[in-house]
Amino acid sequence: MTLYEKEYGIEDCNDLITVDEIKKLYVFDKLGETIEKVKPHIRKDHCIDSRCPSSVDGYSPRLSHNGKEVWLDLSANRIPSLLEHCCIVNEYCYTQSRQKVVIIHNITLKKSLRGNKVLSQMIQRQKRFYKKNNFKRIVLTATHSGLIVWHRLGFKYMQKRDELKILKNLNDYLKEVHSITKRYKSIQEVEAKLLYGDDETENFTDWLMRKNINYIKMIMEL
Amino acid sequence: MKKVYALTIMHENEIDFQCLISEDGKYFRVQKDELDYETMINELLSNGYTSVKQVDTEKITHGDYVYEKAVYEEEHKVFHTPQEIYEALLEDGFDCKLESQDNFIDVLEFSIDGQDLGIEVITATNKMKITTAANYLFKAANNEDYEPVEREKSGSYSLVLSDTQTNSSIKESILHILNELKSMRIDAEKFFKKGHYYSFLMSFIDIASMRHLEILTLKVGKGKNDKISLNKQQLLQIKQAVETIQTSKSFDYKKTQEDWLDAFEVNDKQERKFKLHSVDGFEDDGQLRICYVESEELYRKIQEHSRNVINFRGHYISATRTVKIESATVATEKEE
Repeated sequence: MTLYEKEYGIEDCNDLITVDEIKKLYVFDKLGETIEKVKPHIRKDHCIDSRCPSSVDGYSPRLSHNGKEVWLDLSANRIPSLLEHCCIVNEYCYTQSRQKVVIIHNITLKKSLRGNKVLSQMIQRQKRFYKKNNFKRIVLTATHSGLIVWHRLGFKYMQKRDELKILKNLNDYLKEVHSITKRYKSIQEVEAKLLYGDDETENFTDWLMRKNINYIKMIMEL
Repeated sequence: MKKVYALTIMHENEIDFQCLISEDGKYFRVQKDELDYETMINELLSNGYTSVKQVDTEKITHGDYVYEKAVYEEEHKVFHTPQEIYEALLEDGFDCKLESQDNFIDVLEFSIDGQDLGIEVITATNKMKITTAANYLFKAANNEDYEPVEREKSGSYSLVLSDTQTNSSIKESILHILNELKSMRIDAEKFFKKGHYYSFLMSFIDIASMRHLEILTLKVGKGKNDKISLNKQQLLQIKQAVETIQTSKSFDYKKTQEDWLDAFEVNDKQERKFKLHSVDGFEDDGQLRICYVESEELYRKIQEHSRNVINFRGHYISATRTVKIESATVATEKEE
């Protein structure tokens, strides 16, 4: 049994989510000014599954080769470098008990958009949106760099062992790197600034990488 | 009988979590849990653990856009034994121990002796009284909501509590509480917090009224000073002392510089008594109030600062019309 059991073989994409709905999600009219400038740009793609809605205003969500991922490129200017894009890759699937699940494979924000709570707003928006569309949960595999960020955005570690392992390392890190002896009993309690390093000190995500803590399953129940 | 293990997780040399697990992992009981490790153990035993590793990268190219999608592989491990869980925790860097119950040490033996108090004939009610008092004593000494392992001994009824070697220092705390009790010293401050100490005393005085009880023996070790015996008379005196404290009223009074303390006489010094002007809200308003202090150190402090502003805290015992002073904070100090 895997952590989230998914059943491939979507018979009809409309059953999971329609392109019209997805487009609504990525119109950032209610987000901050910075992101308002980023118009949703859903790339036209020939790979689209014939059973899915084909296009919206000349653009289609791109379905991956296996027909299970909807891939939206939201870049404003289509600069080819991945890091310069605002890119979201989500997979929609059913669990064996026929519950609708979103799997986030990738969210990459333009550098200029980072640090303005844009990601937080996007996640809140996704949460509301998917809930409205009868999805039961959002899941993802966090790499070391996202282990704290995703948690702060409302995702939980799917397995308690991972949560306690990260918390233990967090306390070890604060003691060793910042000489903080206070015992933190939850990750949320720790001020974000304490997790940053500088020229002389290691940041917490690098610490986790060094301790080989990586690829942790996370979940947000909707 | 299945073998039982104690799994302990430490943080900075303090027990963070402790549970007892049967050798087949089928049963486990949490004794102490600071961080919800119970959920983790439950998950490991019921669902196992899935680790994820990236095994490849899938490159997807569409026009000018290239996206690299990580390909993960999941490995699922099921946990059946305490040993497997222990090894997993060690791998995660936890400071943990796994001890077989065979290595546990006895920390308290609670025995009663009397006509119908033998193990064969003792009533379930009396057994329950002993179990309750013994467990609350253990918890009060441990200052934690954490339960030991119990076993009964034959002969006159005895309940033995044992615990891991990691927590062996608890014996000293148990002995301290018992010695204080034998000397009729009850920590009123702790008592009124209504925690484990309170529950222990309330269940302990219940034993005093047990029919046919002749002697109660409490043993924490094999040494001469590790054993306390209390006869029926002593138990009834303790009961009375607890009841006196129970009926006392909380006393919180700020003495001004104009107020004065007196009667620090030789006789009073021996009994550590002094007089304080009356305070509103007590039955004999307008009278001088007799206060007494158990600790010599506190008594000396009150003497030294008799002309200062002092915040007194304690309990007014109506039966003796006296105030038991438990703390005195001179205005210039920060209250402890």
